[in-house]
Amino acid sequence: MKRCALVFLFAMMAAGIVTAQTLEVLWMGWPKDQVMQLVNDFQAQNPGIKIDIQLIPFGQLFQTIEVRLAAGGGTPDVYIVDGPNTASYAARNYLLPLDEYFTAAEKNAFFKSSIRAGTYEGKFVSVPYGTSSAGLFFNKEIFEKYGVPLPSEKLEDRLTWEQVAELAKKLTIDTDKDGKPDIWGLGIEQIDRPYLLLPLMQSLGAEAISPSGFETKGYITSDKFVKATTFYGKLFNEWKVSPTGLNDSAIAREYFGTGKFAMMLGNEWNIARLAKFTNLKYGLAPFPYFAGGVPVTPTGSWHVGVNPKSANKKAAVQFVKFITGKEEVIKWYKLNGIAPARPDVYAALPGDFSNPMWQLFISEMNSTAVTRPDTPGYSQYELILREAFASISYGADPKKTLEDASARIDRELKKYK
Amino acid sequence: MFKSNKTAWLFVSPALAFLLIFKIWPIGVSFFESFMQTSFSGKRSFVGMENYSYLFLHDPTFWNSVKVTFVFSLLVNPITLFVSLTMALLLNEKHFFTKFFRTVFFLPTAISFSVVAVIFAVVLDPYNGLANSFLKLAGMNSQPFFGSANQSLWCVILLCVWRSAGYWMMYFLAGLQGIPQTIYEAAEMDGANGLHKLFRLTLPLLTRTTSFVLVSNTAFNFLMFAPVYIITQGGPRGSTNLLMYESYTSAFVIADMGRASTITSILLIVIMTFSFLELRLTKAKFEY
Repeated sequence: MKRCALVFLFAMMAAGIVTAQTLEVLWMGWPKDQVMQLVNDFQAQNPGIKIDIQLIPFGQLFQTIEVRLAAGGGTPDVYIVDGPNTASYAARNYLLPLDEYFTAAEKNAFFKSSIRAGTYEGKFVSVPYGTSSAGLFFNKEIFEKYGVPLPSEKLEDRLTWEQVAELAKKLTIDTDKDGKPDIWGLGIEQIDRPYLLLPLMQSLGAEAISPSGFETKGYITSDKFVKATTFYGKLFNEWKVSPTGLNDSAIAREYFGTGKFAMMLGNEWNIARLAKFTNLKYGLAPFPYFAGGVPVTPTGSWHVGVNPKSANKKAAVQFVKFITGKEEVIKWYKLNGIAPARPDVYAALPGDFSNPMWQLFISEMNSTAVTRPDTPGYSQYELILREAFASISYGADPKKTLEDASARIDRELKKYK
Repeated sequence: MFKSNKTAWLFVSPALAFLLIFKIWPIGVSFFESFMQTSFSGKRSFVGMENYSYLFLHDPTFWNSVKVTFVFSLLVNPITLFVSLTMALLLNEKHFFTKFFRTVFFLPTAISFSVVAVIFAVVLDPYNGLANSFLKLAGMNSQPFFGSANQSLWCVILLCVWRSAGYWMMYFLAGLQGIPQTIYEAAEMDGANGLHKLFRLTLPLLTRTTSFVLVSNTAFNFLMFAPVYIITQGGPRGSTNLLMYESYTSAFVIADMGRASTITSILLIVIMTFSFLELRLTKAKFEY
């Protein structure tokens, strides 16, 4: 197949048909009409370069990237990278170090946390394309109806988890008296994802993984980690303020939108996605922290990387710079609503981001955001820890479950040493 | 029948070739892989019994999965056998509705396991499911079903019995039709009543069918995967984490091929042992 393609290519070159470089790009399966607008912009400005972009549905994206890169050819030239997978790809030399292509000023145009997420062993390997943040959404009508004062939306009045638990207990209400709550105090949008839960443990000072990125024993099994996880388990099992098994974030959003959650720990995209619930009156409080601990918020999102085996590295870098540049990111935000990873985009769209909720998220991204664990084995780490969190939400013993999970993760991480 | 073995071998060779390529060879590869480990860079190395010793000594997830698989097997196989045999006995008589019910009971078999799983997930949804609506209507408390570590495995068992019983019923019906009517007539002459006929004639004479159904069903259920994958993902709290699913996640989600191959190799040995024991225990003691 490859040989056929080569022969064909040579034949075409001999015929003098090929005059333009073609870049193959592996991209997230966003709507084609949106993505093509950016691609067409690039091709219009760079007539010598043709972009062959392939949009892969989210469910198959990571497998496709794995298979294509493991094949070892020079394509795709450019591909989209989920932030925490950066280390995994970089450790296998799937990402071209970009330090020589980016000036300090160009790098400083991105959020610091995003640059950190795109760096592996001191090398800048994946360029931030978007970011994310989370906070505590609350349904104003439910608070008012049951006479509970509204939480403050100010950063300096950040609630503690202990306070949130008390509020949630007050607002878990069985309206039809059938023994089951009809309004739940607290919903968690991504109920068992380390993305949204690690900030709880990190708020108590726990670390998610060893500095080397190869060990979890003593980290996810530490007293602080277990303590925060125990709190999480109590939400479902002791205080019963959160429903178990709601592991689809779209359904969690429906629950909040239709008044079945008084509060929801959720992402910035809800500003756009909750708009369809026209009767919903909600507010946004900062991501809670533990009393005596420090505020920590989740962050991270899509990045873009270049295949080191690409035959068109220069053109590839040019495309990456273009699509992550200010103008195109503004265009992309307008098209798709993704939180930009560039402070200058926020500054350029004061109308959009002056919304106090966006202001809150921006402050969090600038001050309290912590990226997900830095390990080449992130996908295994995430999967096994997620299973452990799910079990704990169903009442499993936190300490024992985390110890088992740690042993399994450490076995898998050994492969990366 | 054949003058020389050569001709016989010639006739079985196509089937044998397929068996070798698509069954024996992969089994061999899987056994071989269970002694290997693959690093993330794709480098494979021989590790001897390391995968086995890890599973047996340091892997509580594996042991929980073994427990779940055995409990599941010990429940689902007798229940399926009992239900399908009962249906067959009831539908062996000739009534005007017999044919209709035979079709109805067989119908679930015509639905793929994945579709059945989706149907059950919708009906037994803890928050908005059909089953809970009926329970409420009848004045009973709604149940968590797949959302509870205590009920989830039972729900999977129910699903499997519902899907498979009609299929095995057909084998029992065929077996029942194969029993000569004259034996019953002779028994009636000797004054045997219905129960006598059932326990002294029908069941013993069905032994071969029972044996086949039991062994096939056991092997089939040890390999159960679709409902777990689609509905529970092994949860809650590992309560439905059958070995086949654990092997799948190990291989294709966490990319630990060595551990996955070791689990399937162990599973193969377990299935062979169970099949052998069942065949011995249900061996027909007479000819007819």
